Amino acid sequence: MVIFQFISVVLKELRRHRTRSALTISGVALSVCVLVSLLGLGTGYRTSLIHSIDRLGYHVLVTSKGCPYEAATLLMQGGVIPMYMDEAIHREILRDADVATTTRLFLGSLPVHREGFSLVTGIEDSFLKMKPWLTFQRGEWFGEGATDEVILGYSVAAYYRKNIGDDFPLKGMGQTFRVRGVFDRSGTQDDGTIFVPLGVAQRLFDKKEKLTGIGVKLKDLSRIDEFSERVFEIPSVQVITMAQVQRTLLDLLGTARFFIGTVAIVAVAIAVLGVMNTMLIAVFERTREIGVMRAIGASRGDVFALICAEALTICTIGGIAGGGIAILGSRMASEAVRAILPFAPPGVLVQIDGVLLIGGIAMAVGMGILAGIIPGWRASRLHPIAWMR
Amino acid sequence: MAAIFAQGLTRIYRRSAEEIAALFGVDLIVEPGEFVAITGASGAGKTTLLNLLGCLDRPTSGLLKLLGRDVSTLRGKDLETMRRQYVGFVFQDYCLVPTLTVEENVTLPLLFSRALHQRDRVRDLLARVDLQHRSDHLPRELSGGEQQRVAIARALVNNPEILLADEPTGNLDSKRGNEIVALLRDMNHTEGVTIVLSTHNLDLANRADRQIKLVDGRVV
Repeated sequence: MVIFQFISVVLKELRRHRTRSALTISGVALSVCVLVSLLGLGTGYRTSLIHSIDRLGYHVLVTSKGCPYEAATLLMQGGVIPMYMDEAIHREILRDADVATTTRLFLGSLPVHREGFSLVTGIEDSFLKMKPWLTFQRGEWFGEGATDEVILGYSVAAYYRKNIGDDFPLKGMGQTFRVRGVFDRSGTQDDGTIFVPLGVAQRLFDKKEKLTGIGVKLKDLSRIDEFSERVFEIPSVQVITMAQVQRTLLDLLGTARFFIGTVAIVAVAIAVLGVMNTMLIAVFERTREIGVMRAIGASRGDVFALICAEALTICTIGGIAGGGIAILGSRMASEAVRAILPFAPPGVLVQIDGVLLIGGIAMAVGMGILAGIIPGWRASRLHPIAWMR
Repeated sequence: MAAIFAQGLTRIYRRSAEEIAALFGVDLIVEPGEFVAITGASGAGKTTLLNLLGCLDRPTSGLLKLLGRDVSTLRGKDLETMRRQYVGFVFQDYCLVPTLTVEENVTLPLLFSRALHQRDRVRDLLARVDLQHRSDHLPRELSGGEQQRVAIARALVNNPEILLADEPTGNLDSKRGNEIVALLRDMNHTEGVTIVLSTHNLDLANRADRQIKLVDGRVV
């Protein structure tokens, strides 16, 4: 009963200065939104990345020597790796006793229609054995000896509205391809890829007998270190394990998160100071009202509680609003992050679950307590007749 | 036992090196149920005396007993308790909380004394001051006289033994002022509450049981 009456008094007080209250609540909402989104980014990115790496289907990728960051990014996102290795390396790797399966890859980007570039990947039959979950939504695998067929990832087919048998021109290549099949949605980069037979890709990019990567599945994953050591002895070749890819990309994210985290902490601190400032102004303006409350029986504790409750209410409303905005805007935030980060796996990058949301609101409550202490203390120290002097 | 007993009550304000004696050596006895008017010109010390009697301020020296309890040496929580349980205060400019309705303003002291179960008392008092039909209105929607009636109801809601009214008619025209004094007089009779009212209006002061005149901080 008392608490409801208290809350009623507090809410009415906040309604007295609607604009001021709304602005202060907005500041808190913004900081909580940034904080929750950032933490959601950490969870979502990691989940999406691990899912994406699992769906690559191989344990290690062999590429020509170069920057591992670049290789990791290209591996996950696609693009032209400017260094190539000979097919002979594939034959050498095939002879390794630890190797179960391999698949040769040739990655490149080509202009498609008028809209820009698309990732084109040259693949062979073993590609599907590595990825048993990659099934056909429509159509089928390349015909025997076909040189003018493409298989489209789910998103590419949807974007260009292509069906089986439709023409698919690759700009500048002087050749029109025919859609042979469309893969089902996989939730990975494969959805945005145009697949051609390996030999066709090598011919398109004029790199006969060259590869950009070899995906390798081992018989026993625990032998990965020994296998890597042996491959490292091959000149001009590097081995990237999926664990390394994961670590490399999470490192990249970690750097970005550090800076964004700093911004979020500053935003939270500014919000706390903003609420504190608002409450100090309110205490100053209400010196008389507080004095009268003391005169009619309010204890120092009552006054402290009233002012703290106001700060707490502002921050709690702001926290709930900020959490709500973060959830509603998570898809938009995912797209924004995708545009900024050098590599972003498919899927929703900013994942906000119930625990995170409650944590964000709890944080806002903490901000409210922090912001209310000094104004509450100052109000409680006001002499009952200070306003008369 | 006197409701109010003051002996040598002195209040000196210090501002920088300057000392201002707002009240000096005041002796005062007010019996329970009395209606006393304190008169005097502006600056005579009326508000200072009421602030001391209302436990809003502490005397520099002298003895002050309310209902037999020495309050001149009380501090902090004990003064709060005295204000909450034994004293009601009415100010010249009403001092209602502008965001709260009439009923909520009157309820406020009950909230602070954790006695919200006595809400019937609020409705009863609003009926007594003839404002039950305005209970959902905000102070700004009321006239000055109505606001002061709300303030009186608020001062009485905790059933105080002593009601202090500092220039309660100061902002009202004579007709409304008369109504307020009549209301206080009525409360004095029906509730048995001891009332000390300050005013510089001698017509109103004449309606009290007794007058105490202050000049330059001294009783004359």
